[in-house]
Amino acid sequence: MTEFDPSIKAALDRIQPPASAHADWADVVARHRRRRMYVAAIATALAAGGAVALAAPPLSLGERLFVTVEDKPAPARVKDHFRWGNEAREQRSEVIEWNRPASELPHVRAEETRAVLSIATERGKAILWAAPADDGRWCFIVQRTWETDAAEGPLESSCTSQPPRPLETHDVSSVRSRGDWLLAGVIAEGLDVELHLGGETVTPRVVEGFFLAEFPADAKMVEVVASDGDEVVARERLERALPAPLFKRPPPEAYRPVATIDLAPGVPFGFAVAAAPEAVCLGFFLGKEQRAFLRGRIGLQGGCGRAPAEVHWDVQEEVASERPDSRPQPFAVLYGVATPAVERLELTYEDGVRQSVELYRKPLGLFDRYFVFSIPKEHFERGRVPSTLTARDTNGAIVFADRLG
Amino acid sequence: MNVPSRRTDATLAGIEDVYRRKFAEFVRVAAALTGDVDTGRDAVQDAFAEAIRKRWRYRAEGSLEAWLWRAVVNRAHNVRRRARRHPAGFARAETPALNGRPAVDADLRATIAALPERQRLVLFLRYFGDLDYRGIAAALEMSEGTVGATLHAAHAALRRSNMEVLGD
Repeated sequence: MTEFDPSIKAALDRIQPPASAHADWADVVARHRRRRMYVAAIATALAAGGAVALAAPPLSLGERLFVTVEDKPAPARVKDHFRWGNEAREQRSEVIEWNRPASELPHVRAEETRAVLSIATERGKAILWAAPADDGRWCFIVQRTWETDAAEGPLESSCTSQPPRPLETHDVSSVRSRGDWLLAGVIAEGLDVELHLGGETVTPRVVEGFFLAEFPADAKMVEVVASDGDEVVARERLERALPAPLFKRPPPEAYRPVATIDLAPGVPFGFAVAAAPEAVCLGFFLGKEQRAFLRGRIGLQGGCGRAPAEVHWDVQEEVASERPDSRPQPFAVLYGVATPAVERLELTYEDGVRQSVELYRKPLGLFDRYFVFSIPKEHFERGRVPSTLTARDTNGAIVFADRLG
Repeated sequence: MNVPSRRTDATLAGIEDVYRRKFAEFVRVAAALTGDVDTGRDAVQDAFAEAIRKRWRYRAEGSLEAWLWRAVVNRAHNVRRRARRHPAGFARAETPALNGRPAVDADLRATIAALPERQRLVLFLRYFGDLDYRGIAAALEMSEGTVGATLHAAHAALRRSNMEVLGD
């Protein structure tokens, strides 16, 4: 038992009664943010040395890391990117949760978006915009701009991790970044960061805990090291996943739509295929925007390949509006390919309901069955979400079965 | 009261939870260390703001609450050192003349101010922070035995010097 003297307690209570101060958590958070802005102001002063001029020869790694701190409001397009994410999060359904947990998507204060830093890149510039999230994290968008192309560059977004890590890196290379390798990093206050590429070591400029770095197109591996004085606190070895050299992806114009459904009136979601030597390449589009399809459980490297299984599938979560000014709605689209062995495809839900998935038949090579299926909204609820995808041949025998989710 | 020993991730929600549960105790200890309630509260606010920023440093080797107590105590000590206050740093009563015992209380204050810093800190954490041996040990990163011995010594010093006050 801990020693306790009631008379000492009474005496202390008398000469220093309990304080009448009130807890103010909002003030604590505000002090935390003010401190970050103070650090940013210091970084701004340090960085205010003028922008680097783009040289005709390719930029070296060090030149690519020169930082300018922007002082301009975030464009509507950037803020809207955060807002759309908030909208989708608020409308998260069980099927979306099943496909990707909500913990990955905090609510972002889009109106507080501001520029943090920018770097010169091989073909233009990359700008990092950041906004605070309600759960204490920071979410950021990296915007690419091209010198020789007036079209709006791609936006790649992510958020810092929860709980925070001393070092984290985010590959923000875009499909449309034309082969460049762009990295965004977050480093805890008080730590130093170095990038090691081959025999070269570079210290990126850190602004409010963020840094950006672009690596040469032929770079294969970079090591990012965070240290506190002489102590290495964290180390990340990043290897660039390049498309398999076996398959050369066809140009966008070679893709042909094989199946299209309307997520909403005027909002088509389509599945496109292009034939490549000894392979087939898959892509999908939403509305008018063609998207190359590089990731997913479909198992095809770089969107192209030769796959042994009868069915390859994935679920794509989308948010789409019927009109530009209408509230976006979430959709979950099951799509994929099947071999000629597959005659029927069936989706089973957790509540036992079964539903046929239409197969579009279009002989284009290795696969000649395609499916794209928008999961009905009534099956977004817990207990009713998709559970199994089953493929049968002409005799009704099961040739493929896979558990979804 | 025990400082929870369960592991808690240093998330924003976890830090906020400790802040709200123990705010009054944090302020009272910080006020005792800095010599002023407003300054003590300020130190608590700044300590928690810094805890948010450096929460990745929390290694879960002790409880989150103990880690935050260390942050508050360190912050209060830094504030006092910068202000070059009297080493006692003991908050003045808001209405010292109204308690009817100004002279006696001044003696008690002086006695506390004369205690070694460690004894004073353990005393404040016991009576203002409402921590037990285990909680104080976790907060100050010392053994429970040392805490017990330190508290006992502080008690003895107070009793020797203030028999009139404590005998009431």
